[in-house]
Amino acid sequence: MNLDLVAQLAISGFVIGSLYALLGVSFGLVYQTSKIFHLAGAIPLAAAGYGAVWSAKTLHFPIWLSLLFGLAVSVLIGALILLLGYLPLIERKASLLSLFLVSLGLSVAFPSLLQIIFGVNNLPLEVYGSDGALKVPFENPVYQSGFLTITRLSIVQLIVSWVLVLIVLFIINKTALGRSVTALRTNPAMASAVGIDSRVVYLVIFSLSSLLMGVAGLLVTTQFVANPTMGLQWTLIGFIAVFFGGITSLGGSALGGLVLGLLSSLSGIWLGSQYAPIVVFTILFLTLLVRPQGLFGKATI
Amino acid sequence: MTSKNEILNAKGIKGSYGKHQVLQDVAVNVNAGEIVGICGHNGAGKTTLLKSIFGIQQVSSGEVVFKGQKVTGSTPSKMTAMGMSFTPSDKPLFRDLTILENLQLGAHTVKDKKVIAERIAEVMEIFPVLADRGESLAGLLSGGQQRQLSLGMALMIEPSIMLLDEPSLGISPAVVEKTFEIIRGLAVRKGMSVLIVEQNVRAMVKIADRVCVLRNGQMVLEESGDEARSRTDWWQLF
Amino acid sequence: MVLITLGVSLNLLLGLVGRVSMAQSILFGVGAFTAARLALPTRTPDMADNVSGIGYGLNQPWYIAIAGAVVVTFIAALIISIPAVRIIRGEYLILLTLAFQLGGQQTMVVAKSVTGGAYGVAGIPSIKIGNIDFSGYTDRGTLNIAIFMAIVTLFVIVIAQGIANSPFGRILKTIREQASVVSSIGKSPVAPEMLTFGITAAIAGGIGAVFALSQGAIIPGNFNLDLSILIVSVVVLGGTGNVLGTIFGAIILGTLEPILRAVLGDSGIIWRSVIYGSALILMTFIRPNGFLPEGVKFKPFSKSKNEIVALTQSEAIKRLARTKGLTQSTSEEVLELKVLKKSFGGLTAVNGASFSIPRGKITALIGPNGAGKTTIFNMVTGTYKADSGQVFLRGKEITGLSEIEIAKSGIARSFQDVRLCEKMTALDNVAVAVPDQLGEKLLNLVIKPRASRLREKEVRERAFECLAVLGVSDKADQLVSDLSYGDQKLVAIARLLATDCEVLLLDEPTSGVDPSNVEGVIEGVMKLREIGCTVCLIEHSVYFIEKLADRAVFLDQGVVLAEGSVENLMSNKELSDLYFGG
Repeated sequence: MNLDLVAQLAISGFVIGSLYALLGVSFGLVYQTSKIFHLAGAIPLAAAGYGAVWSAKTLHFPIWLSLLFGLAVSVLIGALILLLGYLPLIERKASLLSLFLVSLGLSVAFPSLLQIIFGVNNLPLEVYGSDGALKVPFENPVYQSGFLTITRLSIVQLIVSWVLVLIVLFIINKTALGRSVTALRTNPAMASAVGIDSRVVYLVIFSLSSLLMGVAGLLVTTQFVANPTMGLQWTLIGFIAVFFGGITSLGGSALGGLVLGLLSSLSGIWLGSQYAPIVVFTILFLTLLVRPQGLFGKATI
Repeated sequence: MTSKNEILNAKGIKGSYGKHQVLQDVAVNVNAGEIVGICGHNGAGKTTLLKSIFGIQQVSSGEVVFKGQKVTGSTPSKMTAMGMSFTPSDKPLFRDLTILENLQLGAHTVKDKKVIAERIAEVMEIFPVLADRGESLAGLLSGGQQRQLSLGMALMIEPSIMLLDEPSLGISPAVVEKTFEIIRGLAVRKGMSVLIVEQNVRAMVKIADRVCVLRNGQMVLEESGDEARSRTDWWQLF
Repeated sequence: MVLITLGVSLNLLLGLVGRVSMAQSILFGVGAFTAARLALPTRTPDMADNVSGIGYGLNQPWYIAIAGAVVVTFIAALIISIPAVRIIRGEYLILLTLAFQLGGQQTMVVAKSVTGGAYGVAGIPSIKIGNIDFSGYTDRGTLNIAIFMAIVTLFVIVIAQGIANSPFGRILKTIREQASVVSSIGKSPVAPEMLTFGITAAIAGGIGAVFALSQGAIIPGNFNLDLSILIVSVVVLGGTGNVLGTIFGAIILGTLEPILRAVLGDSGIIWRSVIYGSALILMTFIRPNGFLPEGVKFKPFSKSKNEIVALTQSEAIKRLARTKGLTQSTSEEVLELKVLKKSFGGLTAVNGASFSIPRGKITALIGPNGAGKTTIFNMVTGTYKADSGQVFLRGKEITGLSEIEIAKSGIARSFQDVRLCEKMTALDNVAVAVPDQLGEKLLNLVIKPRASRLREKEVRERAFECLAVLGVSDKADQLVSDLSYGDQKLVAIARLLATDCEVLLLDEPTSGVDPSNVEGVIEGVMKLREIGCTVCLIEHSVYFIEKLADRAVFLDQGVVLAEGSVENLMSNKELSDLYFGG
């Protein structure tokens, strides 16, 4: 076995795993608090990417501003989905299935909307300098050490993802807001007894989750392109990370994402890269079969 | 006419879970500084009554007036802000959080950080058993201690009236007596009203100023605490 | 046309069982490729390797190809459904099938030897029936294919309707609405569900085969997630549980694409998904049950119901009493509980409770809150496993048996929250509980149709009798959701009676019933005694216990403190103190 290959695959595993961790925490937040299968989480992800691309291209925003713009768009859309899509149904005590169908409808319609507005092709992030000329948005040198390579943007992805995950974990565990979330999640009856308004908590959760999705979307867009269907694939990975890592633990979801990334990358030792998705889905299948609450989850079933 | 002293008046309360009709047409009122107890068999509708007053449960008809204001159908957060606390019978606290965090959550609708800190200190003083264990998980406390914590949480909003749902649930008879004494002490000390729902008639009757009996969703009796204390035929009422 | 069939197949799962599968498309694909592989001519030495687009196969005739496709997809579905069915939460099936769909898509691209990679397979021979032209290349052929498909679709619709209206379908609906009830009436919820998923898949696979044979060429891209979503949309839009609705839904959505193309040109296709998505969202908000909810049927097709002769209450009681007498135990004590213990975590709910229930009488369990009454019920029915102690029914030990086995041995329990299927009639709710129904095994419906139908008639008569005993036979054809709460409670008790049980455990039969209806419930319970049943009930209102019970058992803190007549217990000062605190 070629150790260098293994090491390289491990590194890519870590890199992609950190993105998965981010996605996992994003979905874990929503799923744990509201039990909603938030497929429509794909929308803030794509929205961030397209927001950035559009503002850079049409408004000629400098790079940082267009990224921020993208984030703002994703948070806004995420909140709107909650307010207009889910909350009215929750007030009516609709079933989880109905909520899922709405989520499905949104996640189906949105990519097409993107295609209609922006065209079918992939859109790279094009940034214009103050002179109106096309600039390279990021210098993305490749660092090399022996046979191992890693790009700068990959490093950025690693750092950004984990910092965000840690911030979210901090918020949940140490702040008043996080307390309200845990209260609502563990004892909704008592939460209303102390006057916690579940709608407010949901709004915060969804905004936070959309922010994370937005960051994920930006990471993908800056390294690759913005693509109309980009949301759905990543969304699914987020779900798998949650169910694999632990449906009752946010930290578990993050770790789940990391392990998922590592496993799918390392499977490249024996299988071709096109098998990676299959590996991921098989892992999910086995998890649901053997340990449905996830690696780090508490058995509630 | 509501008397000047009356701080809570609920009448014509009907409530159901789907088809399951729990409250047929119930009225109850509480005056300032009064301890009113509601007893009855399981499923008589006692908890539903409290939840309807507090706003957790939807009423299909009826009216609730609190401190002179019509509050029927208000949200719990509004009621808490107005000075009504509610302590559920089952799991009246957050087991996975620390004692300190529980008290902080009790003060969820209180804005002023200084006030919160003051009240936490006061609660620790009233319930010394909580004082040394601020960082322990609430779930590790004994039944009686958990009840004390839940009372402490209710105190965090400095309520004018406390709604207590079966505070004797899950604790041994000796501790029950002590707990009820504490409740009475609090009411006196703070001039609070208390509306208690209890199945443990004896303990509740000891501290109540007025006693009501609920049976199958209807109020079948209302009398003074003294009369209740000398009553012997409880079986007929339940 | 294809869409209709696929929609109908999903409707089986969604409508009857209440679960969503995202994998219909891939199963469709699996069927298609299996058929392709079976039907393609075998490789002959003079054919070159890897000629793109042309594949090789086993050269089977078309009907074998279709059959093979059906079998393969059925088995695949059974395998996928194993983890999901064990867990009741619906979202697992969604995730599982989603994963299977996407994983399957990728596998198709990768497994070149079977699917020809992304380029798919071509040259699939068409159906051959005599000399009729079925090729896709001529107008005549296309028409013939359409006719063939129409016949297949009709066939599928008939099967689906048949399943829906059969006893098997009735069990499925019960699983959908009240899964916890199924084991308490002695039937297994797992097998029917998996079977349904298998059938749903098999239909998809079969149609996939027909698709492959008629198209002549297929590529993995045909069977993507979009199609799965489309299928789900068709079912949801049209109305879950309603085959007619699904047909409408399929027609509407299926013709959407050509219309869009005609109106907006090729670029109009993009709008398709937007419309699907929006339609899905709108429907969920406005008409969550779809255009045509479950009850709506085509007049000519709805069956006539009342072949059952009306029965007075006393006649019914006499009839049931007779049959009861034949199966009754002879000993005085029907149910015995010995030193039962159960703890949850650190809390001891039941701490050595022992008592017995005499035959033919109504015994009440009284005690303050937390005394362990419901826990004891649950241990008797097998919902909880006792930590120690034993339960004997008619002298035979039943401790540790499963819920289903205990129900079959003659103990049935009601639930505090009734748990009836709101969308079904009272009669159907009771009928599902009658044991030994031929029609509940799908196989019997196929190989013994006559016998199944006869048995079903008996079952319905029996259900009617049970309703009559409780005094609610006049409500037999009404939907449960239309009944008063008191009547619902009576129907639930009738359901217990239908299981042919000897002991009925009633959990708070009068709670929540408004004063005007409560007498009816009390009378109903007393009628049970007339038939000769043994009843044990949990009641909190002493007022009702006095009216209903012959004997009472007083429990406190998980232990039996006293047994005897209700009067004796109430005049006991110690018990009084305990119940009211002190």
